Amino acid sequence: MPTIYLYTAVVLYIILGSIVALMARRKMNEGVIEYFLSGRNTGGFVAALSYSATTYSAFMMIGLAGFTYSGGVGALGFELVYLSGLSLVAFFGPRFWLIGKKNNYVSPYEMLGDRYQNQWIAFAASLSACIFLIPYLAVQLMGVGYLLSGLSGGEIPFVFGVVIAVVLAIAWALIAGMKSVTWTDSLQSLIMIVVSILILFYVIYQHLGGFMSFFGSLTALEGNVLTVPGPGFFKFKTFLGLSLPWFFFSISNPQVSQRLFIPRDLKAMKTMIKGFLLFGFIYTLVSVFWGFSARLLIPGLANADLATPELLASQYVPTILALVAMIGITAAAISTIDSIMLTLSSLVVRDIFQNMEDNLDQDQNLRQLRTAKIAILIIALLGFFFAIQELDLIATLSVAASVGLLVVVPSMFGAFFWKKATAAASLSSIIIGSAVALYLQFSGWSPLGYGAGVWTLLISAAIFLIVSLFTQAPTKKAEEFIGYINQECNQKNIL
Amino acid sequence: MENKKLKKLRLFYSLIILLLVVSAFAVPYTLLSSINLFRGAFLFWSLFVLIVIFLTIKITGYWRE
Repeated sequence: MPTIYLYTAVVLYIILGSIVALMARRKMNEGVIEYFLSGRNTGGFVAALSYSATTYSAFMMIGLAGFTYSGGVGALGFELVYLSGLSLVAFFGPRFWLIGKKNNYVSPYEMLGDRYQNQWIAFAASLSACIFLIPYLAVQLMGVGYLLSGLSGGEIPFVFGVVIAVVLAIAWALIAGMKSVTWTDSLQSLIMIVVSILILFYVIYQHLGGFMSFFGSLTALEGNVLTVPGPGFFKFKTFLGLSLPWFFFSISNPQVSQRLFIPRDLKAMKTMIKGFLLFGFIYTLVSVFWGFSARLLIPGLANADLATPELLASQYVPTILALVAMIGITAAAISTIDSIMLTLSSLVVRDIFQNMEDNLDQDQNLRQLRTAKIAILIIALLGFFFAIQELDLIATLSVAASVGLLVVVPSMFGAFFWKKATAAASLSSIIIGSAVALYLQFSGWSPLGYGAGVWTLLISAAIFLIVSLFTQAPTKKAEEFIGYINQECNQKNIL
Repeated sequence: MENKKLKKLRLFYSLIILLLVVSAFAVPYTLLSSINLFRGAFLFWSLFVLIVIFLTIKITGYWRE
């Protein structure tokens, strides 16, 4: 594809996104809550689009399409099990929102630290999030680099895409904090969904004879791609090891769970959940269909991750559609990157530096915001540095992200539903769980054939339960925290 | 709504969703493992998630400001 087209498309995207980010700045108020949570005043539509754009990264159109290409329909099951995990938000979402508003929490880990009356929990969880999410962010940056370089036939250097992605993510996070992030997310999620549907229909109707014939061709393929384990990748234990961590994504990943603090009211949260579920269902189907289309049109690729870039570069997709697809995938990556950066910076400010105070005066507000902005730059630089190294280590840590973040799940359940849960239990489950996740991921050891996700969850849950039985719970705080939530839930019919 | 009724509903929805999620792991690998057609695992997982989505929206439907 001519390089000039790619540059033009990127420039248009930058202009459009930056206009939206600057518009957000004009509506921005002052203060830490405004910066990190958009003043807890986000409407349902923007919250839904932002939640979608943050959750779905470049992984969908590249990684999931690649999984489908090599592993068949199991990829759909894996991603839909994840989507079904959003049912957790129907229970946790309003609880997060209620207690976040009452106690003025900014980060989900700050909430855990306060609930268990131990700041080290917030510190450990935040540190673990940084260890796992910065490499994940780096992989997203690398994705943009590879995409631009691949589509231009190597004319655009890999590092150019990485620089563009990191600069945009920094700018859109700094311009107006959560407000510019959610607004640009909304634009980007609309680009992602519209573009992906458009190309999918084009490819299926133009080249594969429509959906009926598409499924007919899939049935005829070697390897029983419409069954599991089918071609062999999605053996049951692999499927379980992949899907289980993702089922808990909505409460384990801080960049997503922090979004449970931002809706204006319960109605906005309802719209956010509904909107995301609809978006997720469509985007998952599109990504899987996309992978299958590549399998039918360009079979025999040695590296399944190249299925999407190769299909876009092939004669089956007209240049203009390939260009908008490239923007759609770049948007998916950047909308995830800036959200992660913003959330991690809030963890650094609120939990790692432990600056938590309920009534911030002007100076403290300014100090926290300044630290946050420096943190965003440092996180971005680390991501950039990791990305340009192109190390295997980064890929391993990035894969470990969904597993490593699982360690907070028992503490989340305990915080809301178990008064006898203790700080020692929470802290030990987070620390030992993270160590288990790292060890299993790096050693490649799968005891009894089950992957790191299964063991990390089991071990951290077991530690959490056992240690809670033998240590003292912060009874007063537990009564106050859960008591308030229960009382509000009863009034508001929250299940 | 009464506390008891809320608890019952919470248990009811949690159990159904749990059952559905277990089925999403079990059914495609057993009953549907030899049906290499659209109406095999593909349709099953799509229907599974649509039911979970329906139940999730139903739960949010109880909420009052």
